[in-house]
Amino acid sequence: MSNAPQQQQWGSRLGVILAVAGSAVGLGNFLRFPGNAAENGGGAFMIPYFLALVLVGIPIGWAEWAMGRYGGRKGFHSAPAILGVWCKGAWGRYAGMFGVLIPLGVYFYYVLIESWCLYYFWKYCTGGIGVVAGSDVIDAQVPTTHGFFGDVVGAAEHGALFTGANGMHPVLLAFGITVVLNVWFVYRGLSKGIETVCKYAMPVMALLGLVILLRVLTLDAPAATVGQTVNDGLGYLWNPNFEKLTDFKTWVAATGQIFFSLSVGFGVIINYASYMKKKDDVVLSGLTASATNEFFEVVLGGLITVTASVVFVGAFLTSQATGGSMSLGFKTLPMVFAQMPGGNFFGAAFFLILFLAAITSSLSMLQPTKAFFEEALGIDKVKSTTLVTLWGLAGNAFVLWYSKGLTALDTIDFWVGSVFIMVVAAVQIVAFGWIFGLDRGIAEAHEGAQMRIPKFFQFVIKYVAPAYLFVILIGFCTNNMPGYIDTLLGKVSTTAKADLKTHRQIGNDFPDEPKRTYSWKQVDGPPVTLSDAKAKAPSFPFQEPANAKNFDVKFELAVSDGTNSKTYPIVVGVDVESPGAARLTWVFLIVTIVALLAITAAGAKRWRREGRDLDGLQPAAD
Amino acid sequence: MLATLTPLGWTFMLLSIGSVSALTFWCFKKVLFPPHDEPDLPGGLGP
Repeated sequence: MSNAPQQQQWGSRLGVILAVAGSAVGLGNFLRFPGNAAENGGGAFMIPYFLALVLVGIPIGWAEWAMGRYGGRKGFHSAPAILGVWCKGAWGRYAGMFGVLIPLGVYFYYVLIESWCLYYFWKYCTGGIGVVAGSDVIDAQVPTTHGFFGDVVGAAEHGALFTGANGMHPVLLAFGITVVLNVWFVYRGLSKGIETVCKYAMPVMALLGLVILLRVLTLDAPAATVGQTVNDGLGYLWNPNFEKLTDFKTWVAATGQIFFSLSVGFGVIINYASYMKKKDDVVLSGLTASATNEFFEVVLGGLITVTASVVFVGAFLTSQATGGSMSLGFKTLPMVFAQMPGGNFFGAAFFLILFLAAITSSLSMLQPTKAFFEEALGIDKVKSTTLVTLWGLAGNAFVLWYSKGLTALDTIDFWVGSVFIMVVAAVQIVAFGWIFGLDRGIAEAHEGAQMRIPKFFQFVIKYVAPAYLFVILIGFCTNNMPGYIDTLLGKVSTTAKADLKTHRQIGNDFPDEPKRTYSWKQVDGPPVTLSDAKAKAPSFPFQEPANAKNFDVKFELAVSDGTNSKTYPIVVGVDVESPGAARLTWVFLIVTIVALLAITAAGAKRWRREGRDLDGLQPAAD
Repeated sequence: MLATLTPLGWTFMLLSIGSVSALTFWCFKKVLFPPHDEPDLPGGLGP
């Protein structure tokens, strides 16, 4: 028998499914997915996307559900303890520490984005964010939306949100409300808190999403703007470009999208499933949660945002925004709502959806950490909630303060929210298929199951998913890691390109794009070496100087079509302050990691002293 | 760069949306209306 304290439990089967789906459905479904698809082959992107869903997403999800429930039967609820059981030893526990670091680390910045959604929602309820309908998009609307977003996130200077000319920025009030809501619902517990929120939030999100979808699909071509139709918007996203399938980056992007969207390897599913009973179905529940996430992503995410953006602001501005999810949501869509009849209502509805999607996710980030503190330190829920709140606030304060260029947010998002997730997922699938044993693992998953895991998936779990994951992890790191490592080392790479206004001017002066040639010449600023002075957008490296301060480099860009030529002044900002902020962020992360490792070690001592089976040597109790 | 939705685009869009909608519907039907007399599947780790 286990000496574990009295366990919490879910109120219903539907409750746990909606809680896991709520954790998975987030900003990425509505903003990142359509941008990713549009950039990586449109309809053709769906081939590697669905392949990754079948070969990686669903199988690892099933493994995580089964591992969590099995750990729960041994009285454990945190990733370190449960992976220690499945991996039969201390290394699993310490690898499992990442299953606490990930939700806690992502919470450091995610709750800030959540508060932006709440602030935008409030602004749309009270008249919008100041974009004037019918005004010139590039001259008036882009500066307005970009300026508003920059103010909200404090992008101009570190600490700008606290020390602005008008005092503290009102988004901090939205942040305070968001934190209080999160802490309150997590404190109330699984059934009364998280489950209740998800049971209401998920249907509301689906309903509001369908209302907005109906509005988008029935839009008329707006006479005052660029005049694209809904069919053009859908074509922009869904027309397949099969050439992209020959690019490995497309496969990495598709697998990454599935991976981050389903929340596998996040440390959340393993925690949520640990509160299920032995006879609760994990196979159908896992599949249903994944399917729900896919519905929000493909049906609502795939039809709303990019379509509306193309109709109202055109393909060019949409393409500028699809690289990052925040640009599309916070900078481009406000221009759409300004043009749309009833725009303030639909803007408020859209940001309410984003807020609900975000809060159901952020709740799932606090719960695994809270459970870890309770079982590793032997403290009650008041103390664990207080500890997780204070630790979360410390991380929030760090990200809020180091807001310039969003470097701290971006650094944590890449390392914790991307790389570490893949590492945890790899540990989980190896523990399930190879260490614990595939047959035992599948038998555990089938306990109380309404449907069996097909034989095909058993082969996939054992061989295909680990190999696929390994290849994608290598690909993802090869594509993205050098830039982040260079930043830490102070090597800043900057792209020289025309701003939107100049870009439009060049388009007007030289409409025949294939005939254009470019020639860059530096005229001011510290000397830099361009990668290719004849390229449309060359880059240049710059080593971080002592006492780094951002500066501008001025160029003259000569454009010609063979007959005429013209020179344009271009000013490019060089961000040499980001390496310092990125290194400080890593110091903060290392302190967090060391503290979590120490708590894991303390927990292991405690569990051993209590006579609990922390190395998974005994079968689980019923 | 910009083109209206082509027949192939329609096909990819409808197949994608149709398949995830059908899967979601099927899953929720099984969850909300489970068979009453279906015995537990064999398996499990035992006590």
